[in-house]
Amino acid sequence: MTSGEKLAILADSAKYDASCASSGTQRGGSGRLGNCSQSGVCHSWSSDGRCISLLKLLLTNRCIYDCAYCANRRSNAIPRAGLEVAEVVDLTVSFYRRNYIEGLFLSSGVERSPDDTMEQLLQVARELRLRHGFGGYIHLKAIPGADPALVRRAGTYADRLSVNIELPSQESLTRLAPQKSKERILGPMGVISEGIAEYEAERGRSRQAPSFAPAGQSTQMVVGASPESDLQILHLSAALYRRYALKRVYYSAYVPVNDDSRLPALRTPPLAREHRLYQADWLMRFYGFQAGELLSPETPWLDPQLDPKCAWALRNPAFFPVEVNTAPYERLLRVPGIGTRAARRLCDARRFAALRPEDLAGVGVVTRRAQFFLTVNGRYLAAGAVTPQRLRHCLISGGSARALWWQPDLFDWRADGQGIAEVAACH
Amino acid sequence: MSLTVYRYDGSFEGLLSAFAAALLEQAAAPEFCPPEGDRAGLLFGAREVPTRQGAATELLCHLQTAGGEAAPRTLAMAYLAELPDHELAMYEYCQLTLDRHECIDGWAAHPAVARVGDDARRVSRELHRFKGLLRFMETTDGVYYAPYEPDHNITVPLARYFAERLGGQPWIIHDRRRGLAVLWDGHSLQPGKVPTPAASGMASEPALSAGEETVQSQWRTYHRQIAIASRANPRLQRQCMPRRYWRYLVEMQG
Repeated sequence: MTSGEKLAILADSAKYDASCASSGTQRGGSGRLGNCSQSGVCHSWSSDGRCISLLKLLLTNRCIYDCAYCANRRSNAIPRAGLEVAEVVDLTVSFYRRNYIEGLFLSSGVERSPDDTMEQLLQVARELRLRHGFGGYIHLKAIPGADPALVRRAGTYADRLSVNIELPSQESLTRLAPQKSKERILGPMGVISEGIAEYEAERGRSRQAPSFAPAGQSTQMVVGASPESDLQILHLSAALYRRYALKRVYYSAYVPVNDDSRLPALRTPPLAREHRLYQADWLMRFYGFQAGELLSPETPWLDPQLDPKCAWALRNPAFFPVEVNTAPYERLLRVPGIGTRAARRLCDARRFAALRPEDLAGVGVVTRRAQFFLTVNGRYLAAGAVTPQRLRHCLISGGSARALWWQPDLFDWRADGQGIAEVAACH
Repeated sequence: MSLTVYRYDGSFEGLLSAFAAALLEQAAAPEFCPPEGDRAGLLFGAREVPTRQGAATELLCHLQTAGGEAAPRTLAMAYLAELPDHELAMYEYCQLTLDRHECIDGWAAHPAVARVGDDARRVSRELHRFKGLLRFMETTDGVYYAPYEPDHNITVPLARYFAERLGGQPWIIHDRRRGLAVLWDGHSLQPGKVPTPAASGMASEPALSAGEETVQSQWRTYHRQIAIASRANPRLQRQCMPRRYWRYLVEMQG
């Protein structure tokens, strides 16, 4: 098999890993090959619209495990291949020199044992760093069940380490990935977060402290292959961010790759749900929302029609209206149609002069949504009567307000519509 | 009120020299035009301002003292946008920064600041984009060659970025729209003008190394295989990576 053919198989096998981040490390060029920039760089986009920043490969797709949701499980009849350490190193370097990639994201099936696989991943990273002086980004998978000492060594070469939590609960894990357990996954996660904490403490004392996964740790879970609600998933993510100081939790809409009675029969991956989960995740990390504010045991699913911030706003009319010229940043962040960048620019701009309604669009406020929640110098922004129907129509992402105008009955308006009438009343 | 038109040589230093002259003379309603833009000049008789490196540097220093490091950087980035009629907003930006003695980049509601900020953001967006989208090819003499056609004049800052990144390998970045190139020989950056292929009658592409085609085809394979068919979304792909960039993208050929 040529290395081109192996590449085809092993890229195909690696494609379900969602992470493509290349951000979080700032490393100057050593004069040899490569550096990292804090913000990360996208190099291309594949035909599914996902960004390509790293060469994402499995070292091998041969695997002793038989996880129900995984395309590479042992019982699947698919072409199998393995790359030599030197082949991965060569590919990475020649792609990097041509500026195709920001670095390498290397994972692997477990061909013999977790330790053996971890050892090989480690070897690739060591070769790149030590022999080629490679300063680009390296993301390594920590293999569940691998010796903590190996995981610690991986952290000295890698920018980022990740262990996939795979499924959102122990029960689902037992059912769909019987050879993996919560302990085998959380074990390495703990080792990594300790390593990172130690590194950060040492770096405070000395800038020469040997680095340990400076871009942090991330994880991924499959969404839609098991019955957990969005609320359960968000609580799990919140706990992971808190307990293990993760940089990112990735959600991967379950792609039906296997015929298995334990799996739901989906025709297409639940992409809309994945999207809503990412939005909610963003709200928790950058907008100061708690999982419990976005969902509750009574409503444990994210609204497919409304983004989670709009849904929160409709449930919390007492929070509004927000005055653009005086509200603190944290309050502006909660307004639908105002993102982190617009909120920052609003705060910057109003230091110079009070903002007028016509200034809002220029700093990136989506007035179509924000108008119902803002006052500008005490004046309510939205013109005309604000009915619950109109509000919901205007907030539905991507929907044309005009087209929906004529069919208000299509949308059910629940009891929480009451409060919105009060928002309208302050007009 | 007298209207003064300052004509500069088209360069950033030239424009700064003209600004310095206008500031010194406290011109009431100055206009600035590059050599080719002579509309106002015909009417009012433009004044040629010689480009003086000293005056340009001095103005940048004043801006930095007044508005911090961001002010001269924003101004320089806005200039690289090369969008028509940007001089007056840039001049007002300088005046405001010097008058208020603070960084005014956040003043999004001020038309001149907004214009300068928009232009500067366009440039840094495109710069960031090409940090990812630029493609190098290995030539027979071991120099890596990267042709591209950016909207804005970003070649010099882009070259600085790649000098740090690919320090150990010699390369040429070639802006084929403007006929500009920067050569990195492993030690220093050398900007220069390159005749457009049509004008010089030369072969447009340099000869590629023996291994180049293999690596390109491996990259195309990778690019194809990494997509998940059941998530196909070519619209999103085009939105993130507009068609006008495809010409120089290895993975979008063949």
